[in-house]
Amino acid sequence: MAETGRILVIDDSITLLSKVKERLAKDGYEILTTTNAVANTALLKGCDLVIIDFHMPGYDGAQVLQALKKAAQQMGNEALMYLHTTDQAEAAGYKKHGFDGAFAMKGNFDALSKQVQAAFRMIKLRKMQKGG
Amino acid sequence: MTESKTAAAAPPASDQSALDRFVQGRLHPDFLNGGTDVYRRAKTAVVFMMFGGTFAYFFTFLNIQFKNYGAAVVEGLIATLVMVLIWQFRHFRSLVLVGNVEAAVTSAVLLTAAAIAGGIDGAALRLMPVVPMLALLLAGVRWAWVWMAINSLFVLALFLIDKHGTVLPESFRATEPMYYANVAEWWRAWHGLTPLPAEGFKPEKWRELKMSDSIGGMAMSLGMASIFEALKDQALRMVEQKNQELAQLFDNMRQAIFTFGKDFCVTGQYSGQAKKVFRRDELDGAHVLELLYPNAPDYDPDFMAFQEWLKVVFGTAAEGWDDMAAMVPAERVLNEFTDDEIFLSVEMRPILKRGRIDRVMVLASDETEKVKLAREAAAREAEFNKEMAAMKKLLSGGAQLFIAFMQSASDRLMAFETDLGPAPRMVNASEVEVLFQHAHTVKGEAKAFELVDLEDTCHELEEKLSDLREPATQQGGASTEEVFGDIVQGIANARAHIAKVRQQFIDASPLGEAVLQQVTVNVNDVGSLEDEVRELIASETDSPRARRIQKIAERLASRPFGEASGRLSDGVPAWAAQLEKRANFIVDGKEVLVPPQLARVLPGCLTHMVRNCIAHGIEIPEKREELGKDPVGAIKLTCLPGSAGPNIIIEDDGAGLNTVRLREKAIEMGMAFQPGREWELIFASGMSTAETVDDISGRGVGMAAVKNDLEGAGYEIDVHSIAGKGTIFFIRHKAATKRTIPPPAFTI
Repeated sequence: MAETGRILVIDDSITLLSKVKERLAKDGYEILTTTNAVANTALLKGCDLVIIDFHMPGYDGAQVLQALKKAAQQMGNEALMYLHTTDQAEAAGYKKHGFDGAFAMKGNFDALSKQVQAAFRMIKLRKMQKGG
Repeated sequence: MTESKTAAAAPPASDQSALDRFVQGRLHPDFLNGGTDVYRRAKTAVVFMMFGGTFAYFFTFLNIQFKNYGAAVVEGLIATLVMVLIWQFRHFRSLVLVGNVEAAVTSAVLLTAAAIAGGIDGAALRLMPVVPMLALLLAGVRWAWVWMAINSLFVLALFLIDKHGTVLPESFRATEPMYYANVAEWWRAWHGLTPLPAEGFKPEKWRELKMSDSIGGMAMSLGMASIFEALKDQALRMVEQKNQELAQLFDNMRQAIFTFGKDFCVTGQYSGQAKKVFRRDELDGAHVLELLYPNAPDYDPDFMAFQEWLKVVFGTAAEGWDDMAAMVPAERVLNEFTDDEIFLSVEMRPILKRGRIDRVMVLASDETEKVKLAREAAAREAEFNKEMAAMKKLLSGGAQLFIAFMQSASDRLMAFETDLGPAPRMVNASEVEVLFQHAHTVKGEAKAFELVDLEDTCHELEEKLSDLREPATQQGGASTEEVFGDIVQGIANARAHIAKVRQQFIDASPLGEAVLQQVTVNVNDVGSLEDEVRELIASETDSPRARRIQKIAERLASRPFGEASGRLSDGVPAWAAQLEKRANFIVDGKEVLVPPQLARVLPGCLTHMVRNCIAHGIEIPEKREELGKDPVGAIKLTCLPGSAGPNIIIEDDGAGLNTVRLREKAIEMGMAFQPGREWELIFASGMSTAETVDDISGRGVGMAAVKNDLEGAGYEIDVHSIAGKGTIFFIRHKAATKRTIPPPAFTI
């Protein structure tokens, strides 16, 4: 069944962005990608989920996240921001960095597909709780 | 007669109350002569015995409903004893008969009805004491009004208790509606009795009984604690029996089934499979997250989403369940990435109470075996695809080399077997080296062709032979006895591997079996040879030898049918997918030789016809399922050798040709046709029944061109179609007589 929702994926690897886009687009999501989130915060508009690589050369992951959160707040966007990592220990510390959750197993696109589905369930449930 | 004497002995009516007059009219004179106190005591005793008898009957039948037959018998005897005692007062006999019989019948009817309905209805029980009262009134027992008034007050009290719980402690009201178990607890607490034993007493199970609050209320009001206790035991037995039935049902379903409540902990019955799947001896009180997400890290998005789900689900109204159900994780993997991985497909169902979700039932099916099989199948398919790809690579890179390898490997294995000998024997060092060389050579060649299984088998053979090398060298000889069996088996395994890859090679080749007989020659040389021979035959038409040479030249220039059909194997699924259809493609007779004239036009003709089969014949999967067909259509090409040339059949199991549309188009275009053979119109130029033109079909020129091409090669084409069954094309040489050609018949 095709999913719906808009996702912004931020990573310094164009190859990975391309593969993530290909896989998640196949699931039915609208995928936006960027290697420079700070300069492209406008992409956040209408996004339900943001998937962020924490370790991008030339960027401080925490600062990128803060910049995105600030931009999202100004737009009135309540997108969930998920850490994308291969490191389980780093994933476990997602709250410390201010993320809403973490997608471990970076590079495993089937796993990512299921993780994103779960994140969208979370988004829907939170909307339900708010009476949306 | 006796009654009239008694009446005569009674005091004058004016000095007596109405009740005295009534009693005097009915009691035996000897009883009346016993004195006033005795009379009053007797009257009171009779009235209470009436109560006792009535309720004894009631509980008798209640016991019958609970299948507690022992208690039913005892209480029945009590009722009978009471009745017998009352019977001693002969003027009360009518009262006894009317009262007890009515009570018994009413109890039986009401309780039987309640049992059939699946529970004891409170309203029916409330009415029960009223019915015998009415019967007594009808029988002329006037003081039954008093009895009825008392009972009415009692019934009213029960209603008030039910409705407001005003006379009950807060704890009791908090669990409204009143349940039998609550009454029991309250009763004991109020009377300072020993608390009910925890063992075997599970208040929540009482609720499943649909027991009416009124039973407890009645028992409490009448102070019939002992009967109540008996009822409790009976009810518990019934609960236990029902629970056993439920557990049996769960176990029969072969699913891990449990329910959890608002505390997210398992409550009530669960299936035996649940203990097995979740690797626990008991599930009572286990948290649902512990069961479904053991060892899940906090950041696991699925785990987080389910936690969120739990927060929402119990506040959801019944009509909102479908949305909630859609957000349940459909599958769970327990012990992921370990040897003990368990794959579960998960469903959840609501258990409602007053329109809200009160508990959730989890039904988890263990799909581990299924998933493992699917994984194995996928791995096998991947391996097969890899092997086929390797074969195709071989075919494109020089099939002769691989054919030569298969032959040489088979020859070498035969030599290996011969050199090994028919039975264990002593071998010297040079003999061991020869044997070793056989295994090593086949291994090396297998490696070159990426035939891993064969390579591994030969490696094992080498290992076995290595054991013989040292003693054969140092001691001048070694016995093959210990390794003989293994080596023979190894050779057999190697042969089996070669047979397997040989078959794969044939399957992968568009030429089929014919690929094994192919040699590489220069196509221009073959063409020239055929031309030269034809010219030669023209001048020597009567020479049998010349005709034989012509046949050989023709065969040399012929191409296997598989060469013409091969390119379609990959095309069919792709073309079908373009039109959201699915089709299997089958080719029979890949090795049948097609003469050069036909071989030149056949690939184009087949391509066109097969694409037409997909576009116009094969239905979309949903339509095929509606028609009771396999959702995947079939297109089959068959090439049969014939005396004049090959006979080629192209068939599909689709919708068949639209004869109505063909007829309409023919009339529209002013074309003549033979009724009943409208199919032949498809070969007319400009004929297409397709509503739209696409890149697969629809321009109406294809089949006319196909016919022209085939006729140019000396062949003719015919078509038959059956609506709903499919279409079949038949290509044959013009010189072939109709009698020698098998009638077209669907084979798919």
